[in-house]
Amino acid sequence: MKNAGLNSLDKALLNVIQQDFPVCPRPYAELAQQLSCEEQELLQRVRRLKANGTIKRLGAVFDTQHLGFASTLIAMRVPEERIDAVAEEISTYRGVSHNYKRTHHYNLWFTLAAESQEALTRTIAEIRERTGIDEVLVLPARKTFKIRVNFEL
Amino acid sequence: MLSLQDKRLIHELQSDLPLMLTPYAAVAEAIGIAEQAVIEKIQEWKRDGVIRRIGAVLRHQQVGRSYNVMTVWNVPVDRVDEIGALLASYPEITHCYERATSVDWPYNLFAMIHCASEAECNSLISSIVAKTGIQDYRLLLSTKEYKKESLQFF
Repeated sequence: MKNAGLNSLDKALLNVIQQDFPVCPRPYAELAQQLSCEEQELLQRVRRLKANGTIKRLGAVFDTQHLGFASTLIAMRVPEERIDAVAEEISTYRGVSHNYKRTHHYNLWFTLAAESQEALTRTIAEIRERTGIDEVLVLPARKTFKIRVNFEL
Repeated sequence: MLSLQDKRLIHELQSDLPLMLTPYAAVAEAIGIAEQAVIEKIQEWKRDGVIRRIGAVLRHQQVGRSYNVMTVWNVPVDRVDEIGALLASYPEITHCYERATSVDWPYNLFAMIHCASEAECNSLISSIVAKTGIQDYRLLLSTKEYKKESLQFF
C-alpha cells in the first residue's frame, strides 16, 4: 500500500515535521500557522499517523559522536545453525541499535555504540568471547557523506 | 560534560515526545525543571550539533520505499571523496559512509539505498556504475531483522 492513504495535508505535515518539529511552548500552533489549519487538528493527525505506524517516532535525533559516544559497524561470519541464537544474544546489548542477517558469508551485521572508545573495544572483546565467533569485521566510519532519513512525500 | 539533569533530559527526548499540545511542558514536568529551561537546552544542543534534529522518523515501508539494500563499493582511495559525494546526492541513498577496510574486506564505501522496487534499485545502481566506472561492488540484502530501534544513550 503506497503512502498508506496519506492525503495532501498529511504529506505537507510530514514533510515539515520530518525535517524540523518546532521547539517552542506550542509547536502545533506554530505548525498550524505554516500549514493554514487548526492546532488541534494537527495534533489529532500526528496521533493518527503515529497510531497507524507511519510515524515510527517523534523526538530528538542525537548525534552519537557529539555525545562523546564511539560507534562502529560490525560484521560476523556465523554458522547458519547458530545465527538466530547469536543474533539474539547480540541484540541484548543496549548499544546495539540495528542488527540484521544479510546475504554474504559475513552474514550478521550490527551497529554498536558505547560511551567511550575503551568501552567499545571492551564490548567487542566480550561479544567475541561470549559468542565464540572469531571471524569478525570491525568497520568504523572514517567519513560521513550523508545521514538523512527524510523522504519527500 | 553532561550533568545528571542533561542525562535525564536526553533520556526523555530519545524516546517519543508526548503527543499533546504542550510536549515540552510535559517533558519538563517529568524531570522537574522549567519548560523554558527544556526549550533553551534543546535549542543549545541543536546549535552545537548534539541534536541533529527534532522530528518525525517515518517507517520506510509505509511511505512507499519498501526495497532496501546495503551496497558496498571498492573505491580507489583518491576517488573516495568524489564518489562519496556522488552517492550522497541521490535522494534514494539515505546513509553513506567511508569505512575502515581489512584484508578480508576491501569495500570502503557504504551506501544504504531505499527504493520502491528492486527494478528501481537496480537501475540506480547501473547509473552509479556508469557514472563512476566502479565494477567491484556488492549488494547485501537483509533477510532477517533482529533489532531496529533508535539508540538508547541513558
